[in-house]
Amino acid sequence: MKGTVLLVEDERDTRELLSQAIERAGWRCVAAAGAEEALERAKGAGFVDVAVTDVVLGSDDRAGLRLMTELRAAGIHAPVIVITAYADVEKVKIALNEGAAHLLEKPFRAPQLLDAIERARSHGGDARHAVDQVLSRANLTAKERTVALHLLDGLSSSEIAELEHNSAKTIRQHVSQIYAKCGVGSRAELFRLVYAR
Amino acid sequence: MTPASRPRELRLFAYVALGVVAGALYVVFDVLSEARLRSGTLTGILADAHDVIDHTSPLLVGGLLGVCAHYLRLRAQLSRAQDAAARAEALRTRLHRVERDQAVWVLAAAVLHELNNPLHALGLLLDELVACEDGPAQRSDLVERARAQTERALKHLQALRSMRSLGEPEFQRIALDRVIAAVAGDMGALAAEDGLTVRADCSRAVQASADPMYVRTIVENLLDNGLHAVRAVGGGCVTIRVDSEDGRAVVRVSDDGPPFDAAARATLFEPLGSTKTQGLGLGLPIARALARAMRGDLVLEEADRKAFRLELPLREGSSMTSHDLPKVGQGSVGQGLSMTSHELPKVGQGS
Repeated sequence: MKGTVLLVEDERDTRELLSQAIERAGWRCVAAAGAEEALERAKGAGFVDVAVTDVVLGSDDRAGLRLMTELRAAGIHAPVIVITAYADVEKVKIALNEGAAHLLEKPFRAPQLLDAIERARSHGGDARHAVDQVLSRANLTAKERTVALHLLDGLSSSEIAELEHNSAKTIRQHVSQIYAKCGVGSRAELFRLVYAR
Repeated sequence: MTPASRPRELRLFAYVALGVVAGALYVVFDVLSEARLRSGTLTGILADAHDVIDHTSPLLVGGLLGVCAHYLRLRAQLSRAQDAAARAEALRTRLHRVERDQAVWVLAAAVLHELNNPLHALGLLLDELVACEDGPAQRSDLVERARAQTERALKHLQALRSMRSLGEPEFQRIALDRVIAAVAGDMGALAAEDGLTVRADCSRAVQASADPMYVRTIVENLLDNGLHAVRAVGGGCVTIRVDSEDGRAVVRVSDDGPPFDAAARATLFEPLGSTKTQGLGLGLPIARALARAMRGDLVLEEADRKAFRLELPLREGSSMTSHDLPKVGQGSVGQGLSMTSHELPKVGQGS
């Protein structure tokens, strides 16, 4: 499987057909009809590689644009492809300012969306998304993930121990587990794995 | 010169003239008083005449100068007023054009959005149909879904077409209770398929002076909105009642759906302000425009409970009951006094 795509579209037919197309292309598709459902499903999906959202969701004509911020607030930093039936300047401006990776105007064909998904994934999202991607694939525990993020912030083991109210020995054990799960032998290799992709 | 400025100018002329006449009378009186003291010789008479001329000439000249000055001032004012009126007219025309362009733009954007969605889904369905290797049941399902999307797109186009075809209403004496019963019957039958109810109270015979096609369009719209609202809360009833109050025919449409919030109430009758997930938001503005074109009105009567009040003029000087009127149709809905949708001209037809 290539990864996970979050698809948010309130039109039932469109959602089902795009979802099928995405899955046929080798992705796992997590589909939702609204912003709230999308957030819930994204949190339960593990790691989201790419998010695709319609701008108008239900009677809210900007729910999809707000969802971009809400996803980031929920710790999901995946690149977002915005789809819309009508891209007025104001909405395009907001989408760009919110960091949309791609904007597709309806009507489009399924292969166009698949192409956009591939490109968004290969260009990657922000640095945080790259970190999330590596750490989620390493299957770290919540504690290990927190320690790994501190490591990647450049903190020493003793600093992490102080922040996390643990002993330095405990932190060193977590660090060893993190290296083992990520398949690296040192902090430098971990940095290389995350940032030099 | 505007009609308002004319009396003002005439008044000024009258004042000037009165002043001159009063001055002249005073001079004559003065001269005659002096003349009585003089002898009645020819020289005396000529001297008197000369005195009159001497005294009245300045008054006349003064009066004339006043009139001329005022005339010139008025001309300048008139010219400025005409310039201002021309500028105002030019600005009004420009504003009207801008407003129209904006309205067209907003409408076009809304139409584009509402049409793009079904067309996009239709395209995806057709792609899926072409690639479909499943059995006939799956293919048939895709075809049905494509058909539904086509109908959805057509519904939006129909709404636009109805806007274009709105002309002057054709006033007729109509048995409002029968028209409403017929519409409620037609819509009720469709609603029943979804487990929803349309309850019509048309027991009172009310005759109105209205265009039946307009009335039907308004009521269909109100019922459709009501059904949409009750469908959203999992079921319920839409009630329609015909009555006459204070010399007006009144149709009330209420539903069991949730009430409108303050924001929705504020834009309820504004174009493109739909609270529904689909639609152009033109239904209520069109319905109100139609009601007003028939010298009636459409208002949200109760804010806490959704109840719309359609008000129409009663037919004047009528003592007929609805049963005296020729039957418009012979459908089977309601109390046997119904018209089917096929017997009424549809909005947009024949335009």
